[in-house]
Amino acid sequence: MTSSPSGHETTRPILSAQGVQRRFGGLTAVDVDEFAVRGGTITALIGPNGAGKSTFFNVLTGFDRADAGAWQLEGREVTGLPAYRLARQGMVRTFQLTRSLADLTLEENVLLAAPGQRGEGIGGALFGRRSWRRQEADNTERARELLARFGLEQMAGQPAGVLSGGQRKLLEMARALMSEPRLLLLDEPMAGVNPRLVETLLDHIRQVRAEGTTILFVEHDMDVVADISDDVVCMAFGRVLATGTPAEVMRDPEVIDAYLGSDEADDDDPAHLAGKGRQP
Amino acid sequence: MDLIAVLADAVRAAVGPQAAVFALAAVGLNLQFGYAGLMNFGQAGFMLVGGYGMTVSVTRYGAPLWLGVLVGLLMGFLLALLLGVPTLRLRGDYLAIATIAAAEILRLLFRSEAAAPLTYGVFGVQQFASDFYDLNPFGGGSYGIGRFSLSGGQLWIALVGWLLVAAAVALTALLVSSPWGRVIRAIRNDEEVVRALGKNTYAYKLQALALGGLMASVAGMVLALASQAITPDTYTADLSFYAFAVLLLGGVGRVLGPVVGAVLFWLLLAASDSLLRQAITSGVISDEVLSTSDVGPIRLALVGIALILFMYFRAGGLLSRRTPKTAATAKAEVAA
Amino acid sequence: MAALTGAPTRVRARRRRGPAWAIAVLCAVAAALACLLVDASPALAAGEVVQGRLVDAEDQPVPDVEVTLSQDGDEVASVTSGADGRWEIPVPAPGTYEVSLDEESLPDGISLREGAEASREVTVDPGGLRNVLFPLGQVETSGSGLGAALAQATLDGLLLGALIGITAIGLSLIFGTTGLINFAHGELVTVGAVVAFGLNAAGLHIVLAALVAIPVVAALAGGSELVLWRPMRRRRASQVSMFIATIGLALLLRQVVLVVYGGNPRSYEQYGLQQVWEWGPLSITPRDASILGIALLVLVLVGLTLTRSRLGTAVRSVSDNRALAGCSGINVDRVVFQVWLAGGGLAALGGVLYGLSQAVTWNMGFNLLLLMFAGVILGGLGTAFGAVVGSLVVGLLAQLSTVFFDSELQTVWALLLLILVLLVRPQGLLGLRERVG
Repeated sequence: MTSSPSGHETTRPILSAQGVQRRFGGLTAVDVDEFAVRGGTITALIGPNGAGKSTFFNVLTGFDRADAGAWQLEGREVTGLPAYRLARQGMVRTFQLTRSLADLTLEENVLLAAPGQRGEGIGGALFGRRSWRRQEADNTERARELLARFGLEQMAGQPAGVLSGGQRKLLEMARALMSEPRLLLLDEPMAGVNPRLVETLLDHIRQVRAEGTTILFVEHDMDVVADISDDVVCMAFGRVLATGTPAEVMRDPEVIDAYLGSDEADDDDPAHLAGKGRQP
Repeated sequence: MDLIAVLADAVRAAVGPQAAVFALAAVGLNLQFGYAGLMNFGQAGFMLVGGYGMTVSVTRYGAPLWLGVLVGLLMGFLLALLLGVPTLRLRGDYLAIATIAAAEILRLLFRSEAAAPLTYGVFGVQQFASDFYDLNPFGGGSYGIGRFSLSGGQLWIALVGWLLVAAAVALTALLVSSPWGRVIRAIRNDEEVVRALGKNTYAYKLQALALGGLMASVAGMVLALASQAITPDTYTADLSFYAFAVLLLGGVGRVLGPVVGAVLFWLLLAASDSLLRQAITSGVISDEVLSTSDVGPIRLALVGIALILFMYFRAGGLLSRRTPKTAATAKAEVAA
Repeated sequence: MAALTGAPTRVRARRRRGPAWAIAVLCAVAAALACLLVDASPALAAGEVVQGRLVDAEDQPVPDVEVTLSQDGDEVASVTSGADGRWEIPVPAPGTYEVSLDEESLPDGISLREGAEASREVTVDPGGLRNVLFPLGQVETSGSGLGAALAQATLDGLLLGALIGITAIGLSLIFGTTGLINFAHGELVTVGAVVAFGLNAAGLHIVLAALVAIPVVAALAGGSELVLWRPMRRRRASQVSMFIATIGLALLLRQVVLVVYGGNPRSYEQYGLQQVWEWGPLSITPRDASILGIALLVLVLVGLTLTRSRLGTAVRSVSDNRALAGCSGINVDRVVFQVWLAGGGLAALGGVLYGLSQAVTWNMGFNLLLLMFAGVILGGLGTAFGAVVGSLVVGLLAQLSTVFFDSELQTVWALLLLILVLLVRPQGLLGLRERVG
């Protein structure tokens, strides 16, 4: 592993990847030779739009297939595992466009993430009622705590569809934490969130790290990244340009070049939105 | 016009075996579409394999009725695997087309000359259910109040049909209130989120498809038993559409929705049928405008109008508060 | 998105080119239909029917000849030809029958042509009319074998495929531009054929009747967009509910046709029975040859329109990315409306041609719909070229299967192909794999 930046203690990587490639027709969207996330850190994956960050993220989490490459979680080979199995191994992701399960209540949203619920099997649901009810009671207690931690306890019984955009971000974090991840992957957690909430989210992320969960998050706003990340990996044109501390990466001339002309405020540009084919 | 007769016709249909058959098919569809968001437009295919599985094993191979029922269930399960294993990874509307195509393939195969040695061809087979009616505890008399009555045989099959409906509803209620049910409801909302939380969504969808398919197979058996006849052309694509109409009428994603829907569906269908027929025979509607043979198609046209209006105004059905949504929809909205 | 789609800059000249394009297609169709005029004789039948007209080498009718229909050796019915040489036997159900001509009953001096068989296996499709010609006189005909059967099936398959293709373009383009799977598309085909039948029965020549039916169905399709689909899109109805609503519309239209038109298959007044043209092992009626010609011509015209015209470019860009097309000044609603008009018109044309080739039935559209799905998915949902290529493959497969298997199973093969494609390559032959995430 060459990715441990100077000035930091070297810890064993919780996630490492080698030679990961993803092509669409003639276009190579992702071509990452080396990538690693040190355990217990907050690592930011940055880069201008179209750099291949989200695609790389999707490949690592089993939501897209890789054309080449290998990656390991805590030293275990997890290359090409389906998304649900990666999640069970402790690698849980969120989505760029927050996706709450609108018809389920907030509490159900969080309960869904509880690992090892025996009532989720058809046999268990029908014949192990007493057993899963007990589990459910414990899980509900934890779910309430998590909702309270994110300030959503008042709405626990309401369908998630009524939440505002920012509240959905919080719910998604609460849900992801319910699954007790060892590595939490956040896809642009700050996108489309008002500045006040950004601070709250950043505090939550720091607290998650403090509890021992490693965090990898995708972000294209460098300012957000600077004061929260331990490590920064910058991607452009599908490749890793630079790896290091926030200060190191931001001084890197290649990184500055990559960001020139694609400023961070381009969310307001309608052509950019349309090009991504997404709603704001 | 004899409105009492209209009412008696309507009530007889609403509590009769036909309504139970549609309720069963719709309970299965509710599990698939209402809870898991799977667009199965081939419910008729599941009914067909259920009905034929039972009938053919009884008539061709002399199997006892209970074995026939097991064979019918097995057929339904196999069909679910055959359809689900390959298509549940695809987009939702592909599943819709694959299921409707599969149901149509089955119907065409079962009516073909080549398959006739097994399936009796276009004309099917009749009077095979004496084993079942031998068990009838009601005898041959007529039961009812005033103009509304059912024969002992009808009462027997209706009773069995509705008991099966009750069992299917109870099973659904148990399942959807469990963590399993939470997972499949979540899948309908957004499959990817559920995958990201460590659930094998594919397996859940397959389970929902198979369970709903089994219920439809049972519906197919009850239908065959009730009419003592089975022909391939009973199981046209329209039958699958009626199952949807029943579900929408009663309310998508509600445990009792299909039951309410089936009763209402047959109440309305039989009442409009009876009214129209009387109006034509009594001359209120001139038979130059409509003949009694047009009544069937007009009923179905009304079903069509009802489907359009439901979807236009209340996509969740008459008794529902919310609209059904699938992952495919959510994605399409994102892309829009 | 609505605000974006109403963007101020519009593609110039679309207003002029849109109708001009439609008129060009209509004129071409009219001209081609008019070329059909050969030997017009009335044919009106009820139920599935096997029929024919016996004429001698000088094209004079031959009456009082006995023709027998049997199945698996059992006689079903027997009739004698009328004064006009016509004979007609209703068939109890679709299937394979043997039709035989009693050579004893032929008048003196007339015999079967050399090589022609006195009895023939015929296959009657559901709801179909089957013409059987017993060539009388002295002209030679060629023998038959597997090669000949394959060649004939290929020709028939091209015809069927071209007809599916014409009707499937609309289905595919509507999906491409709106994401809606229109289950009522088959009924547009039926309505086209039935409207033309009504006009035809009232005395209008079928070519003129077709030219009226096409805009009528285009208006019906366009109307459904304005009354149902556009408002539903506006209120963000889910794809699923719109899909189910098209099923409702299909049921409604189909049953209305059944009440108004009735359940029996019927034929148009013109081009009912024709002497076949034979080239070696191939035989085709002038009617079917013209239909094939018209169908291929229309397919080429539609292809040119999509690639060369402003409208075509607009349609393709809307299919590609609705929002982006809206941003770049294309009036998306307008393009979608035009696609509905064109899709409806093509469906009606396909319906009339199919009705000419086979028979007009109340459920012909629904039967075609599944073949259209097969073609469209095989070619790749949303692409017009894919729809055409896929449809041709489906038509060929369906007809070629009849060489080896029962013809009543021809739809089964097409649908099996559909499912196979969904499994192996769901994006279709010409479609691109979707990019995820």
